[in-house]
Amino acid sequence: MKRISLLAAAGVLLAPLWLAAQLPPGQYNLDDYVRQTGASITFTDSPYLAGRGLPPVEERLPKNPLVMQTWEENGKYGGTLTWTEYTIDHDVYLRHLNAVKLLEIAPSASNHRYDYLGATIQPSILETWEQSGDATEFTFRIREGLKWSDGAPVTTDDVRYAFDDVYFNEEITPTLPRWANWGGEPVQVSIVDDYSFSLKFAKPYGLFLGQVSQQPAGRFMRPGHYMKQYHKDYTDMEKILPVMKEQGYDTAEWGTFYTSFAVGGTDAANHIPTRYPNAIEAPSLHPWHVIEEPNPGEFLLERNPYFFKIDPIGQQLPYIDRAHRVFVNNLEVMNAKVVAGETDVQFQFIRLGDVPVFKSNEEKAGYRTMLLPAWQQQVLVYFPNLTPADPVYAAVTQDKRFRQAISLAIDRKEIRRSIFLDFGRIAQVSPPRGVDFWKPHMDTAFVEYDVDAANALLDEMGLEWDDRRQYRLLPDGRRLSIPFMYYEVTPTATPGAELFAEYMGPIGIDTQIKQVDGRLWWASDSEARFSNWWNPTMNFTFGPMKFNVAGRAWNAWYNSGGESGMEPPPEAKRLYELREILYSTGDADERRAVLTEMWENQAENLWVIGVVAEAPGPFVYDVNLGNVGVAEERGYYSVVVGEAGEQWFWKN
Amino acid sequence: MTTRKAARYEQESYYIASQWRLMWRKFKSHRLAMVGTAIVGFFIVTGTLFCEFFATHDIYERDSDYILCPPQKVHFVDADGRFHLRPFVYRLTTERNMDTFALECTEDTAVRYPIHLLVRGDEYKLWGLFPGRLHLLGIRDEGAFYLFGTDNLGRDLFSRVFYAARISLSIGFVGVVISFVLGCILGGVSGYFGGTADMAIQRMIEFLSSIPQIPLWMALAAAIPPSWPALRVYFVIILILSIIGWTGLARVVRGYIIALRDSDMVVAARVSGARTGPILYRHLLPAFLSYLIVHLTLAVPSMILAETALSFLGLGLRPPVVSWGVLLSAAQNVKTVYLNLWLMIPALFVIVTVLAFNFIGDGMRDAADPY
Repeated sequence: MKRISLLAAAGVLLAPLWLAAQLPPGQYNLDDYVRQTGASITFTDSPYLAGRGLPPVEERLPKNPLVMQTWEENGKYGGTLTWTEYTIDHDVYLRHLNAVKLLEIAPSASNHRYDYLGATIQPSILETWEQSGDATEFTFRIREGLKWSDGAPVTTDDVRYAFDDVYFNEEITPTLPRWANWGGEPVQVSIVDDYSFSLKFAKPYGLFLGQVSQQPAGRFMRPGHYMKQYHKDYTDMEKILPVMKEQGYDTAEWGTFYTSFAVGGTDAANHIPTRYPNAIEAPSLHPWHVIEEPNPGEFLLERNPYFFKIDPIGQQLPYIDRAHRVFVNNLEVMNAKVVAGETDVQFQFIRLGDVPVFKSNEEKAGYRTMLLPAWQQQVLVYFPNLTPADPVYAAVTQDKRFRQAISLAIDRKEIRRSIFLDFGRIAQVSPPRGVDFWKPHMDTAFVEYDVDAANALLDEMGLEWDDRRQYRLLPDGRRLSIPFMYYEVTPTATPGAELFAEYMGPIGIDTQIKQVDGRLWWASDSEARFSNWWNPTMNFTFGPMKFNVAGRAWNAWYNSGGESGMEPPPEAKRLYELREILYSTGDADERRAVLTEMWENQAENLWVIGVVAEAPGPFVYDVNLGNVGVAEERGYYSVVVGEAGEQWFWKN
Repeated sequence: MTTRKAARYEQESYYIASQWRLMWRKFKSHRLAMVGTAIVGFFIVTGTLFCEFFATHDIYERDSDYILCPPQKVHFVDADGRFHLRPFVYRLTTERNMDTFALECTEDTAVRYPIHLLVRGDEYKLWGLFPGRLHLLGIRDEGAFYLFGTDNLGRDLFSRVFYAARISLSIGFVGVVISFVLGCILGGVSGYFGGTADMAIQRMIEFLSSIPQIPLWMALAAAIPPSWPALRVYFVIILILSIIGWTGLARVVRGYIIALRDSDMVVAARVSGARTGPILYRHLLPAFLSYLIVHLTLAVPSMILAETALSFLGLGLRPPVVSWGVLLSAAQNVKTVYLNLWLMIPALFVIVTVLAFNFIGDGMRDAADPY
């Protein structure tokens, strides 16, 4: 009898734990979580905040906080997280470690993130969301009692402020972003009550929720109570001008000045103090906020007392109290810090090629190296400039046989071995594995190494050899000479360029490698040149064609409605049309058909030429850091791990 | 008797010996200088003149089976303890270590590849003109033979070091010749004629030497259009180095000429109606030729170092050209220090060459004034 009641008691106590373990990983509104697991939760917070005269934690959390399931175990408070950043304008770590989105994607064993690729959207800043049947109207609810990092409540007033006073203010936003002008008309915002609002678009926008799940708070809400002091509709210019003068802004530049706060961000670059210096002071919703910049580019951050996420036993997140961003200006210095154990976490910019060094120093320096799916489907893709100003060259690079020949002349096995340590699989730029619009030939089109076939294609194009059979000649008799111009956009860029130039020799294309500055690379797009780039996992948000890097004059033509730039050929135009449908449709079958056609178009035309797909990226973390290491066996993608930074903790 | 005779002969030959002969004698007795000469001679023959023959591979040939292989060991005694007169290497097998993901090379002691002299291997064109296949060293079997290991694309470092010697040493020599000619002419004009020419040239020298060297190199090197072919870049780099290199020499030449132009022998020559040219060549130049030679030998290593530094900083020569500086700039990363130390071998060559030139210079200085 006694034994049975003991068992029953144990059962009652353990049931919530067992039920919690059955929930798919991710984050849940507290009420849902309690309903599904039967857990009873009391809120606690970090001792770091004691003695600051803050209200108790129950009042700082929203009424219905968000429960973040811990990946390994529930952690404990304390410590500082240190990482090293080496490119000042990317701020990848700050952007991902300190991330909080309007909606979030449940972590899953894949490197693709969007709903339509099989991932699940979960609540975050927004408690609930709803999409109308025709995908034109979306209703969202902010969590009641959610507060900015200065303690002010987040309500639909902040939404109204964001749309009426920021997006629809022509001085701040001269042209509406594409999403807010969907279908050619500004989005209609209706405020339902203090916490609910809805957005109505002029035409279906099936991709909208997927996009919202990538966006920070600022896409829909700005801290009006703070920002109004710099907004000239609310504050006299007399009062704003001295601040503007001090920062070197002209009276006419009020719009630019206002944007320098970038509170919540006009894009994903949210709260990046290196880009938006005024963002430091402004309230945010992030796990940590910047308190000090001891040296240029170096930041100290501390926990946001009003952060809205808790762990499954009611501890307010994040576990780690302080964060420290160290800035160096060289990748090798960053590598040296990794092998010396001077950094707690690194995952972006460190190279696959350096994994042997990282691995061999793990024990000495006390860290672990995981290989996780990289955020790029392909880190190294090649392409010629599809829209050079010289018409003779343009005729060559726009001929698909030219690109097919180049693809055939690349020895992917060698690249995979010497640059990717035999990781990944040889493939054309193609959809990520496991999606339903993938077809085998999208991977295998023109990937075999066949110099003779490549030469045959170029012969067919009428590109004659010169007398010494060393180089090919253009139809007008000039030597076919295309420099390889690139900047170090990824670690594979330099070795990738060297090998590419080697492969062009046997097919008679004179290729000199030039490494240039990134700004110079972007500034010039009229010369005939080869380049390399990376291809993200969710490629089709740019279109599989990546005309934003490979055919910028076509992009300009498309964006200007045909007024400037260069008119794309029909097969490229078709991709623009398809993208338009992809963004609109709410119908899964139509979406699949569109994506299939896009990728078949790419497999035929090779707008960009792929090499090795799904090579992993290294992720280095301190051996004492909890809730990180399990990512390797679960196969989480490195940015997913980075964006769960609030649940990391120091084991001792 | 005989010894005294020999001694007298020795003395006589000393008195009647020419200046050059005396210098050579003095130089020969300087041991380090002789070692230096031997080393430099070796590099000139193996690198500058016949690197195609001394290299074991084509320097652009990539072997993706052997990426970042450490230098191969040369053995005389095999795994069973037997001695072989002909040195040999073992077959290398490579395997990816699945813990560290490094490609690891291990010796397969079952297969020996004896090293032969004069082996037919990769094709080359000597000086870009004469086709050939003969290499000094090699193995006759199909297999790996990488005495200094391989780089990140699986290219043979041994061969690359010798080809690099051609570029690096020739930059040293050609650069010194140009700055020597410039220095002598401008210094000579400045010293002999004086006046406005002297004024202009001296101010120019002051201006050039007041510019900090590294930024000046950087500015000049950055001005080289990246589309230029490697060969043209090579000559421009030489020009850049010698434009800066001539100033010191010009000063010294000017000083000597000012000191000598009013000496008795020059006055006598002038009085006898000699023209300016012959006075300079026949009377002034020989008087300080010994100094010039010393200066030359000491200037070569500084040219080599300057090229190395420029290329190391990524401002000088660029791949696919190989110079010692280019090879070293590819080795400037944490990975090399921890795992691929052999990629630093070119640094040893730079050090040895520079030391050798300095020894020669030292010997020359002693020998230059034989009396």
